[in-house]
Amino acid sequence: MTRIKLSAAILLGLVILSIVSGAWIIGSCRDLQIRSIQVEEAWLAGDVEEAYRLACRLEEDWESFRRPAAVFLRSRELLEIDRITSRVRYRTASGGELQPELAELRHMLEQLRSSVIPRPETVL
Amino acid sequence: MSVILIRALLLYVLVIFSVRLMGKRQLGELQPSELVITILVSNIATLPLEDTDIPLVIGAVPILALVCFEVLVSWLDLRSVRFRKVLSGSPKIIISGGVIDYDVLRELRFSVDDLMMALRSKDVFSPEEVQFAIVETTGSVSVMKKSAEDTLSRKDVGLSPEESDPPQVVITDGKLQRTAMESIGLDDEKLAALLKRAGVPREEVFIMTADPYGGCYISRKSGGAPVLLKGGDEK
Repeated sequence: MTRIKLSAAILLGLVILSIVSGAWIIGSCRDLQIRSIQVEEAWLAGDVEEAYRLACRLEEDWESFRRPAAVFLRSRELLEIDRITSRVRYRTASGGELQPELAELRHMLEQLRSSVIPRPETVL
Repeated sequence: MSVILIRALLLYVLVIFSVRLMGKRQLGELQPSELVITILVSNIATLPLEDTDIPLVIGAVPILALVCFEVLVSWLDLRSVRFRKVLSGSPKIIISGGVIDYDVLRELRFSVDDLMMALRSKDVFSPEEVQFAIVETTGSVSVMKKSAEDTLSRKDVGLSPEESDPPQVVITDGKLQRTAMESIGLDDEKLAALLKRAGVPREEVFIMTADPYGGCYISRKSGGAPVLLKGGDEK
């Protein structure tokens, strides 16, 4: 009976862990997407200084998400977003093409977000 | 390199824990579901081990989940006969009253060679010696020989049955095994008396077994012939 109780407890723990980690990943990705929109808005408004500041915040937010997220997500999924956030900050400062980078970043964050939501297409 | 080493250690602990969680059923004959789980667990465990890109959690979660499912399914298996039949199948009689059932053999895809090999593993070298044979759900074959081929028992020759509890290991490498001592009703005083009778100090004992009737076997660390005392022996 101890084994059955222990198994039930472990399963319950795994379910809770998956729900909590999923909710955290979804929430964090959404926050990062909002931050990228803010960078784009500031950039389009011609406020380069504000866009740079927000891009730095975006990179910081990503860094603080990436470390614990590496426990749950494959590192190659995170590596590409890591590169894009670095490029966004660089391009905001140097005046390069920013919008395609931000669009790609949002797209990758959306992919990351939907990968943890159990839907038929993600499960199957 | 050190990362892989630590991951290997963690996965080792996890797999051992998983096997222990599945229990002793797992270590003997495998039921179909247990075989599937064993193969899956061993396969999943290798993925995060050889690929550091995969987080350990991604490997650990399915291992734990599969093992927990297996434990819960085996619990359901105990509670419901119908569920057990669906999950593990049911034993099939392949020889009944000395007659081989070829239809069942075909259904089980059991060749004559398989049948003969299974019988030989039970010390039966001809099907004519068999009264009854069943293929268990684990795939092993249980055989009942014809009474003419069976070995004699004490009852057959009219000997009174001797019922005795087996001896327990009470000292290993000089250390007392309290649980074993309690199971045969041996306390420190009685143990000291046994050792005194045997003339062996406790620290000198490599292994000592004792039975509830006062008999014991003592092997010394220094080697030499073991000391044997029978129940009721004074010397």
